[in-house]
Amino acid sequence: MIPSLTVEDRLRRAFVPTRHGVVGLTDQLLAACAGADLAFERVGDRCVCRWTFGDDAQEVAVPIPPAAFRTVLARIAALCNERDPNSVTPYRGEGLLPVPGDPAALLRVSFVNTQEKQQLELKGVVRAAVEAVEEKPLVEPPHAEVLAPEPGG
Amino acid sequence: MWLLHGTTLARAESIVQHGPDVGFVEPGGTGVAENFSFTSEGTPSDLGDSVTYARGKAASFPGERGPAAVAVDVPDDVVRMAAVEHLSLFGGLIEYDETAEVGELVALCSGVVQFDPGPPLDQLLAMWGALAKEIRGVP
Repeated sequence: MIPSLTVEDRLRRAFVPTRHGVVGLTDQLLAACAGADLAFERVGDRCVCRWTFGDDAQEVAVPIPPAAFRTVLARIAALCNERDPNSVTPYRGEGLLPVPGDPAALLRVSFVNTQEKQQLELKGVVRAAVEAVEEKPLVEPPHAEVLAPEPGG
Repeated sequence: MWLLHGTTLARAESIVQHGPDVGFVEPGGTGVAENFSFTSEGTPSDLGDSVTYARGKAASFPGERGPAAVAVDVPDDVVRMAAVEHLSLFGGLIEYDETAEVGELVALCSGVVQFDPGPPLDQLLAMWGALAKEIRGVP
């Protein structure tokens, strides 16, 4: 985690080509964005990243195609469930994930991955030790609501 | 290669009979599926397994007779086409060798074989009736 990076620098690091497949791409995204408050969302046939700088809302297009973004969101759901089984559904949820390369740091994630909406929010970082002392749940329970469709139904 | 798709029993019966439908809209939904995903039997999936998907789907749609998995034996060359097609959708963010073993390509896709609209899906649908397939119960 490098807090001094600009958002543009983080995005460049997040979307460097990888030879490690979906897992590698997802790890890159989480590691590059740790420490920043960023939101990614599919808008039509592209994906954008949003954040605030001062009082200004910022938005840039990011070079991940929507179909690829859905796969990354699926990986994030799986990571949440690896950390705390059944804590999220494949369609939505939120929790804390270890920052790749810095396992003592936890990144707060929130995602939606449905046919209608695909979104990922990454917020700040807490230290795992602090979280344990405060006895907060490491992964929060999923929302109780009707699930949205799985691709291919 | 045997592929698994976790779903509900009602949908599994329809899929076995008619093949994957990427235009499927779930009850109460508005968006279409856009693609159709399987896990590769015997290969760990980094995106979650078919049993988990089936259970979640059955919980969401209790009127669809519980969880089930569609198992279908798809030729390796079609799986390869699907994996390469899916990796190509990453717009260069994932580097891969099209000549690699099919298992390596599927691993790059996290153990998931996704059919997006295009030649691999067309080929799968064209041969669907002749493929060995079954519906498996999910506890």
